[in-house]
Amino acid sequence: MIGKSTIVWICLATMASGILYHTSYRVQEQAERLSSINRQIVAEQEAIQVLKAEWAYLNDPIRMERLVAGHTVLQPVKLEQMVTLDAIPEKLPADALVAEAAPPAGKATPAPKSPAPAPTPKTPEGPMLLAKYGARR
Amino acid sequence: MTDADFNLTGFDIAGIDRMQHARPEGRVRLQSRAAHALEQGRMRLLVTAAMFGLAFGTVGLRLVDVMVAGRGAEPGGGPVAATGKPQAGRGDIVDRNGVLLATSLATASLYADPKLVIDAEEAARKLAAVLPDLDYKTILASLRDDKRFVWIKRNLTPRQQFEINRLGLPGVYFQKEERRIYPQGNLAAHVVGFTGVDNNGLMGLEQSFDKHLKETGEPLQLSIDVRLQHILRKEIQATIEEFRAIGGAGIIQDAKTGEVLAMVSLPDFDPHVPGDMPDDTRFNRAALGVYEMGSTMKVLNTAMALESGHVRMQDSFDATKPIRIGRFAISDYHPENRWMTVPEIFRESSNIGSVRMAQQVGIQGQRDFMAKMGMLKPASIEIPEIGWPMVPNPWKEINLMTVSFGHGISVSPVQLVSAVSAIVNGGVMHQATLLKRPRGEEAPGTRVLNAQTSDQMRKLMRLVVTEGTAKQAFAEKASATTGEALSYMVGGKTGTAEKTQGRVYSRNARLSNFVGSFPINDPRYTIFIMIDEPKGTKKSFGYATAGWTAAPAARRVIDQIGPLLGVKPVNVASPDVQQALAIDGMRGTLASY
Repeated sequence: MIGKSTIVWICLATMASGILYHTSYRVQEQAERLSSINRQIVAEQEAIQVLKAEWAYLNDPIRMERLVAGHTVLQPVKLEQMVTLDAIPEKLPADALVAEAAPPAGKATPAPKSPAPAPTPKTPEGPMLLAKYGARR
Repeated sequence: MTDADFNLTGFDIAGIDRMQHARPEGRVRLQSRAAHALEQGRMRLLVTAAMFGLAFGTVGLRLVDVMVAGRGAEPGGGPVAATGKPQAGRGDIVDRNGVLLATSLATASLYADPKLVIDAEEAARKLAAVLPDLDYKTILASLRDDKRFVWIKRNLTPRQQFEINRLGLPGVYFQKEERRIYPQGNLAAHVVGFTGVDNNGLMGLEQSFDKHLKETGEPLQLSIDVRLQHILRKEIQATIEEFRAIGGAGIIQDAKTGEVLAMVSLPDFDPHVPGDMPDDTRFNRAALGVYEMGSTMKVLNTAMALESGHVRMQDSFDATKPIRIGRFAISDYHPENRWMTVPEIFRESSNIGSVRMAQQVGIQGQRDFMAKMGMLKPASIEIPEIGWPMVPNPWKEINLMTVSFGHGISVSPVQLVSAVSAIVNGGVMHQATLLKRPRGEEAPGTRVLNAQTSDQMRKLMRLVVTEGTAKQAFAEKASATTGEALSYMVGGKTGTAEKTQGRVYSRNARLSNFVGSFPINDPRYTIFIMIDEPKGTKKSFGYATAGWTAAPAARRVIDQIGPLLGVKPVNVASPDVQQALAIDGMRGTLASY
């Protein structure tokens, strides 16, 4: 004695509850994922904080100075090594300077030579070593 | 319901109906009991249906409201990802370029609930094995304590945490905590300060900005530059070691804004373990210590004399013999025994001449000027460790004399540096600050000096470096090929004060200091270096005066920081530069000198 409409209603109700359960489980799942991501974010932020501290610690000027002294020939800039553009004698014509300063795009020029002549290279090892660092990088 | 004639109210409505007026239409009406009951039932059904309808309608409307209109979502906008700032509570402290000076890291701390510890002895034994710096007995005692909470160890390393976790002891727990880390170690210890075990600031900016760091969690940007700080500290340290001094201090200040770029006090301490070092190491000589600066105060004295209008550059003063007042005699370190002009007095650092100049201004004038230059009240820098200057009271004739050459008045290095910055920068006093000023913003300041006096003072300070007591330290070598002598154009003044020991001045305990600005034609930076009780060495021919100690240190610092600060070296051999810094009426005497 079940009417047609009753069957339809029962079907609809079953479907609705099915969808409801599905949705609710998905919400639960998503909530779990969210909290796990949140935990992960906090952990990452803590890790970033640790890395920042370590970066600052490793960049401690005392350590840097020791490393620079031990591994490179770099020294503090001397007064004579600072030159203004006006102080450079104009030997090259103006257009040659421009061409060298801005090489055509696409042409990879490894370590372009500075247009400024090196200020009296007394110790040749210095610039040579520097070029080597540039190439390795 | 047995009696159908009565409705719920107890009145026979149907009966009243019948009595009052007969029905006009001939409607079929069941006048039986059953009909009544039926009517009533229908009525109730209707009411119930309406109620249900209303209820479901409300729910339905609410559903539409939530789902379609999207309003009335869960409070707080629902769960969101924890992006943004990390939870670490206390804010970082960074230098002017963003280099970390202090930061907080999350660590685990170990505590126990003694009531829940089953076997205290076993637990203590196991913990002592993992934490070798704690001993078995103390752990056992705390585990047997009659409390519900005892700290066992704060701030474990991740490895220790793992080991303890593996022991699986009941009643022992971890508490997440913060630990303050100072990646630069000792470098800026006196400025940054340190925090206690509960993360309360106990010194320096950690203390004065405790609330700000705790509540906002935002980084605090200082005016300090770690690179300059390091160079200054390194050179002062080297000088202390060379001259077997007991300590030193140094400041680099931006003369145009008042920002302190470096502040060093030596000996210093490790802010992670401040208690491990002698108490003396925590004393900030650069801000808390007040000293009789000696001749460096002649910068103020000369500026005062020139500013007063009573003294002009060409004026001469009698320095032929020591001044006697009461039982004291004021004499010169290098007696000239002649009449001297203002530049000569400044260059030779003549005490007698300085006294004569101060006498032209008078006691009240001197006192007012010192007040204007911030010498009579503590500096207004942000750290809590600020020294209160020691000022003569009452201010008598003898005080006028001693103050003129920097004795009888004790000020902190911060005060002196700020005053000298004001004197050289055109005459505007900027309060010293340890916080970075926003770029492009005009630094607040008050005019304390005429621009003309400031110009004269710059020339005089340059004179000390080219021909006076700091000549040795700042000598520029002219290049053999070009004849150029490049320089950062330092101008300054040396000072060597005898320290008081008890009530007498000691000949062996000296305070050597140098204050200078560069480039002196348009000063951007002021530097101060002080060496406490240096002893002469063979190399310095037994001298421990500022010209041999503090001034060379300042020279080395400036040579290193000049390129970092982008200061352009100037060829001092060029006539233009010499012309710009020439002092009127000085030529003749110089030639004869």
